[in-house]
Amino acid sequence: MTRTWMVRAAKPSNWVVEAVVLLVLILISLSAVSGWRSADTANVFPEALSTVPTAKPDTGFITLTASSLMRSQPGHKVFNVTVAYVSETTISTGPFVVSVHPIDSSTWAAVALGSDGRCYGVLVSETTAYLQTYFARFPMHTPCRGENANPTTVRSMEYPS
Amino acid sequence: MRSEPAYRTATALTLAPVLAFCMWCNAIAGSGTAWNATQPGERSLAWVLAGFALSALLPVVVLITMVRSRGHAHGSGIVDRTLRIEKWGLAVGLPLTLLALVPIAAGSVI
Repeated sequence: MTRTWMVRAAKPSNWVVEAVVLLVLILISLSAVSGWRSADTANVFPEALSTVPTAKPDTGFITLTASSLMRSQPGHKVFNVTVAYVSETTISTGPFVVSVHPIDSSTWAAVALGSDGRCYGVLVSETTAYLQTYFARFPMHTPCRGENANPTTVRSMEYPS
Repeated sequence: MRSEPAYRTATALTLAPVLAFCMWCNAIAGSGTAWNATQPGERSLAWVLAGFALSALLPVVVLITMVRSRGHAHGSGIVDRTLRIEKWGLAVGLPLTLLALVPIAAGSVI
């Protein structure tokens, strides 16, 4: 019995195939897992925040309120998901709940909770001839309210990743 | 170990990377589908399960064929065994790979 097992084990067809198949499966599993992880970290920024205004309204940013955005639903056109735009004193509870903070006629900000549980902010400012967009990732457990987003707290020019 | 005709060896060596490519495509497409279905606003248990099924089906078929082809009953040579695994793997894997690649191809055309 032992000898038969040894003879079988010594045949390349009884271990080379297993070794190759298992190696391929391990490599493919690692590839899928690393793809999943990189996708997870690359997509924590709330998608609804990417629909920030790209042009200043004629009446100034101060009129770009939560209620006006609820009516126009710029996020719905992009994501086919109804985005809840809430006032700056209301906490965002998810990536599709945007707390809007119209600061003045030339500055507008908004925050939303990312899928990693952190609060992300975006601020659009017309301080020069064109609109400049700034980003922020707030510390963990920061209340995700629009009123926390202002030129002092949202000032990174790099898209958070 | 018996000697194998050269064309069978060549076929086995040619089909092996094709099968590996099919498994890789299905794993990426399946895990991508499952990942999309876990995102806020797009949550769907059915698509998560479908994605994992797409990822796992071909490796499972290959593993089952590998186990079943062990021993004396199913060919004595390494090429026989490899070809058997490749035959069943590609029979399942090629249609699945086409299924996974069609949406990508359609997206790139648009």
